[in-house]
Amino acid sequence: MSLLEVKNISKKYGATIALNNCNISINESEIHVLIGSNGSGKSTLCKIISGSVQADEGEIFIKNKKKIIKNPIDSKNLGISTFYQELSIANHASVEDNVFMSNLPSKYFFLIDRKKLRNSALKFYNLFKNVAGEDFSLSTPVIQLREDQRQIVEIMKVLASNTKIMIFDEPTSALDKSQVECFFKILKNLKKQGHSIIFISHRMNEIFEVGDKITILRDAEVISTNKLSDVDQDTIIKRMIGEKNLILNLKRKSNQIKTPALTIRNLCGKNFDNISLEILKGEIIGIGGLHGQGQSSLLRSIFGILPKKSGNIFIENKILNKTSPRKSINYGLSYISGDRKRDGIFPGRSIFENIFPIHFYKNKKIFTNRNGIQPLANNTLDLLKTVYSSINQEITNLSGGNQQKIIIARWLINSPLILLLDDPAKGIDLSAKADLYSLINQLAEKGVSIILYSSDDEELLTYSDRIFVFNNGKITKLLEGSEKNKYNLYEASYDN
Amino acid sequence: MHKNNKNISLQLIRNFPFIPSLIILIVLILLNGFYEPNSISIGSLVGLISTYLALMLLAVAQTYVVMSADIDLSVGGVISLVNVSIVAFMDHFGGGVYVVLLSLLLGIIIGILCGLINGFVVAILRLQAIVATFATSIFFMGLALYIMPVAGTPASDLFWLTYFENYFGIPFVIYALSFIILLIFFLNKSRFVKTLLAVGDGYLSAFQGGLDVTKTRVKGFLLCGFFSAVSAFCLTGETASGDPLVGTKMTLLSVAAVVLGGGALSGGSASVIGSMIGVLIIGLINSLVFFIGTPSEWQNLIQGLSILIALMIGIYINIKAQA
Ligand SMILES: Nc1ncnc2c1ncn2[C@@H]1O[C@H](COP(=O)(O)OP(=O)(O)O)[C@@H](O)[C@H]1O
Ligand SMILES: [Mg+2]
Repeated sequence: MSLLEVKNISKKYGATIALNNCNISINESEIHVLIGSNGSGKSTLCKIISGSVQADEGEIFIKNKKKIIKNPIDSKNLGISTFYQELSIANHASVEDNVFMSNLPSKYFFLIDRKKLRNSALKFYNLFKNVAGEDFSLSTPVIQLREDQRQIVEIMKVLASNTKIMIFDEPTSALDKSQVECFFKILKNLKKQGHSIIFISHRMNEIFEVGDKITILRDAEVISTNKLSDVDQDTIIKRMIGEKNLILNLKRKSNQIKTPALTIRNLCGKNFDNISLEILKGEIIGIGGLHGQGQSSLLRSIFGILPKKSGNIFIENKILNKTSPRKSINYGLSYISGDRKRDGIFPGRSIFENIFPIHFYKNKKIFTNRNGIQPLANNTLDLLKTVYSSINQEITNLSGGNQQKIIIARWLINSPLILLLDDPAKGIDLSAKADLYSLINQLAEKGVSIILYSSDDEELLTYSDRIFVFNNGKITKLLEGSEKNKYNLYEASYDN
Repeated sequence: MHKNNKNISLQLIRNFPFIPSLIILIVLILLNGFYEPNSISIGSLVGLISTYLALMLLAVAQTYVVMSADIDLSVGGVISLVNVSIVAFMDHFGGGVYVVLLSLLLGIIIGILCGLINGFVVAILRLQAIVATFATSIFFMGLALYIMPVAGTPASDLFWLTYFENYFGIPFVIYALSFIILLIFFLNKSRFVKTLLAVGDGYLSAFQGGLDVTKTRVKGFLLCGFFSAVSAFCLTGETASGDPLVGTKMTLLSVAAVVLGGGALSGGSASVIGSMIGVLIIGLINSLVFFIGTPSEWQNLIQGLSILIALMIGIYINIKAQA
């Protein structure tokens, strides 16, 4: 029997169609996977079910009864709780307060019952205790947590509401392997207890591990719903991307002139220690390992966002003494982060304004002719296959993948020499990823040097020439040539 | 070991964002004592509290709206309105005990009604808080001027005599302060204030997390109105008369005090105790400027500069703690 049924839902944002006449039905004791490229409407669908967004048309049925869901409170009362992709946590509140925020236990009418709160929260804390990291405690304000820990808080929040229907919109995007495993164990348990779960992820292995059914979305429409046992990865990808083909030219002309572009000697900083590496012109080097082993901090320190404690950075043969982002930009460095919200976009501003700040900084002009530089932006955006209706559109109205392309365009219009990529494809869909990496390949062919950190091992193995494996802030292994395979990477990552 | 100590102190600041302002306060008390040894006596500290009690309460009121990322520029107007209303009420009905008590009730009702109006225009009609409450402040001020066109009507003797009386050798203001602190203490542990802060951290997150954002913000304004009214009582006790313009200068001081106390105007993080300390910092800076013997034509400039410096120190320490 279907527990939740969504019928003929449509939603438009201005001229953008986010959902077009979608139907989906979720059974009891089922983990139902939604998959689709970025911007295909997955989050919108989840938000309509959870009352955060109102559909233009369509109906929602729970146990065959039609329900009107006006806001998230309604949906919670109907037994639906949601992990929001952009998280629904309060940064200054502690972990335990966040987990029970909408339902804080009380005593004497209005005071918070701290003891009861702690006891109830402990149950969920213990589930993740071993995988969440040492600095994760119930009394920590969320603002001090890493991205993966915040996602764990949001997961705990959904678990704590203990509703019959649970929606998880990309809950694993920042989690490492052990955290994902732990989460999946919980999901499977919930399923056994009769809960219905909607689960969104871009990672194929995850989908096949926990999913019972899969619904594929493409361009705001539901393409198909199948049992996962009836489809394979190839079929899913083909349906997701439709007619577009994904063939990549991975063979790069080996133009490595063997001149170093960037050299790092004994660099120490926050979360990493004594790192030395050298990158040649036209080379892509990968830095890998488990999540949060200092990879991101290293890139941020090279670029000058975080201070370095000791060690040297050379660009070609010039030593870079005091680092700062401005100085790095002058030396031809670029830094692209997968954390768009924190490091990338200027929300509320147009695409145009989001593309040109680096250009303006480098050219040091006070006035500029808008029509003169606009083609530059259009060309770069086309190169990246960005989908947008007008360059004056506000950036937050685009899907995540397209926002990321704008950020990349920002750095590309001024031909960078060295690209620091800090998990650049995080949370963007497969076809956008393919576009991104084929571009990175082209850049490398032209002699641009690239340091790539990716949380996706597959990507790392496919696209980098050499891989430095990070473990606890140190490089524990260098993988080259035939050594560069999954087995070696995992072994070096998990080694203590 | 050294590092550990540092971590503990940073932890402390993270959990109690008003600690930097507390340190500034202590330094100021010592400085005052250095230039004017008499100022460190119990008597003058009580004097300081009694002079600034009204502003402290107003800062408390302001803090509750700042928590939810709003701001209330009408608190000064509310004070004026409550002040003239209760004085006119006592003047009209004579100053007996029951009349005084009724006037307090009246003041509270007026304060809460003002909060309701603010909450309505800001949270329900969704006007920008800074502009909307500026407009309502003019409206409240206008009402106050209508009720009492010129300043000077005296408050009932009973009212201000009580305010200045000692009971068991302890001044009335200390009882009032203790009561307020107790109230704040319990409010701090309440579900409501936790929700208020969560809403201030981000309306969308709070909404999606199943909180009633509109209702919570309105309640924040109601609480603000309540404390503004109580603040007006203290002011009335202190000045013993009605004045339709009395609150004008206090609005922005209350905002400054919230920030001095470690509160973020962007919402989600503000401490009521910190804001009260903020007021005392402003008060002590004023008296220090006087004790140092600053020529009168320079006093405002020095006061402004000192408040700026205090703000910078507080913000610097907080940034260090967050990093
Ligand atoms: N608040 C919004 N305003 C305007 N457009 C939006 C908004 N939210 C989503 N969209 C648009 O709706 C489409 C679907 O987005 P979304 O549901 O977030 O996709 P997904 O979660 O599959 O990546 C995208 O084209 C996106 O740009
Ligand atoms: Mg999404």
